[in-house]
Amino acid sequence: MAVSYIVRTVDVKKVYQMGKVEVLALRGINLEIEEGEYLSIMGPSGSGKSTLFNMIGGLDKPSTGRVYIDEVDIAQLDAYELAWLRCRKIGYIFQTFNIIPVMTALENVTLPMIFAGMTADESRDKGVELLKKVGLGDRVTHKPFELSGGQQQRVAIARAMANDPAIILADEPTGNLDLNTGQEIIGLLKQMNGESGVTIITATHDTKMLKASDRIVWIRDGMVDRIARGDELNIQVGTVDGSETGGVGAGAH
Amino acid sequence: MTEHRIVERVDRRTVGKQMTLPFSKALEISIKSLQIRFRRSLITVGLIMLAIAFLMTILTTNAFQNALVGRAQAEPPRGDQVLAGVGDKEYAAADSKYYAVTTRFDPQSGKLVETSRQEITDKAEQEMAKKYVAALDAWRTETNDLRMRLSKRGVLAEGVEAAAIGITPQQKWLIILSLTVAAVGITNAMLMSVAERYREIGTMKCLGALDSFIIRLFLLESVFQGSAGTVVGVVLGFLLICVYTIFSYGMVTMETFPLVTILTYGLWGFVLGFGLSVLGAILPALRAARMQPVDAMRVEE
Repeated sequence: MAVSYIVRTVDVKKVYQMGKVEVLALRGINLEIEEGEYLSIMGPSGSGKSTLFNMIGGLDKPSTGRVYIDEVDIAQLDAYELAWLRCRKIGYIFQTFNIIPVMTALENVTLPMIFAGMTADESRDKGVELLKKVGLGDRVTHKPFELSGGQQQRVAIARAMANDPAIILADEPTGNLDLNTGQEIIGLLKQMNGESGVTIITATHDTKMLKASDRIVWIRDGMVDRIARGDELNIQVGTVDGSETGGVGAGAH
Repeated sequence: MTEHRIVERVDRRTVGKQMTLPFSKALEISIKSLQIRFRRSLITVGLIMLAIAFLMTILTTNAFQNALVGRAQAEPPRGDQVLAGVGDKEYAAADSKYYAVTTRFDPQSGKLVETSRQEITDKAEQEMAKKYVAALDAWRTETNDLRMRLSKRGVLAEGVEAAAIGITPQQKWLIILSLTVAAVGITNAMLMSVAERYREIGTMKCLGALDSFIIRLFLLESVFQGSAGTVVGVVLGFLLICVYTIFSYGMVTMETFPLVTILTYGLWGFVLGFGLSVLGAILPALRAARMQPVDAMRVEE
């Protein structure tokens, strides 16, 4: 029986033109992501990880190949449909948080709801609920410059959940956070995944993400290097002067 | 869990109704953005203010001058126009005696010419005649004074009947120049604003903002600045010339105040200022709206 694949890429290739040189960022990716899964895409800088991530999230179109979100080829969608998709079905989280500086936390969280046509009262109530869920119930009217990095990322998570999306895309969510805060954020994402069954797809360097993930995909040189299930990995964590460092014990390859 | 089908082929009309940016929300965001970039917006506001004020000084000067010249060349008043209540009677004085006269206006000499004269004996009527003559003299004095001032400033040559004064080609050129400079300045400031907010725009698009939302936001910002500058510019330009004219010509300025013309010119000023701020912002707004979210995010560290 077919598992429903919420995202499916078929032989996705991406070519960039850098002056006279053609750069092959992605050289044929075939990936199937299940609904409700927590998937991490890992790889060094320049491996094509971010490019693939953008493809999956509908932010970029492949040069050749297809990306299906819920079995609909997103290359067929026009600007309006893509906007609708981003508003209602996909939530984005960024390494640089990207909270809008002129608005308070609550206004940031309710912005997607306003785009989706919710009334001011409804959106305010739901926004406060979401902020409470991520642990910022007492900072609802704070502006971004009054919030720490971790708190800003929490606002971003609340905002991503604003319209009850089916997918959350997190691009290096812990990249600008310290060890402990990063762990908190990963925990929060895992919580969202468990509670509402939202599919979480992250692109990351962070080895702390490995424990939380259902599956991990390694990208190298524009191709899938390895896919493993989270529980297959033997993750060894060492300590240096009391702080954790992570490492992955090699599974069979 | 949410509905199973997460992607639906929705057509433009459906999406258009579902995706909204309520005007109040767009207004809110625009105002807040302006508050943050207050100093730069002052430059934009200042530019428009100067250009519109300049326009208003030229137009207002023109309006006042035409009104004053009209007054300087007006026919002398008669009867009721001189003193209320005399009906169509006219009076003159000579050697401490008062006469009831009839006159006609001779266009060639520009003067009232007597056609008949009759002495007044009734005391009451003599009193009225006295007031009448005094008022007529006052009018003549005011007219001559005005003519002298106007000719001193080269507005009216002595003894010459001038037609309505127009706006010279040089003035027109200066106006066009100043408006162009203002428009370019606005475009520049808005482009800077767009460039600074790449990430913000990209983020909003990721949240599902349509291109039209982005355009709306930037146009609103520009219109705000433009309106503020226009209001100040219109009032400033008008006040400057009003004060100067009263200073130069005295209270006759107020008596001949060309209200309708000035209001019309003021309206023109508002329309131009508003139009300028929209025009200047179109290019930057389009640039912002066409940004692809992925480009906006690509801030390489």
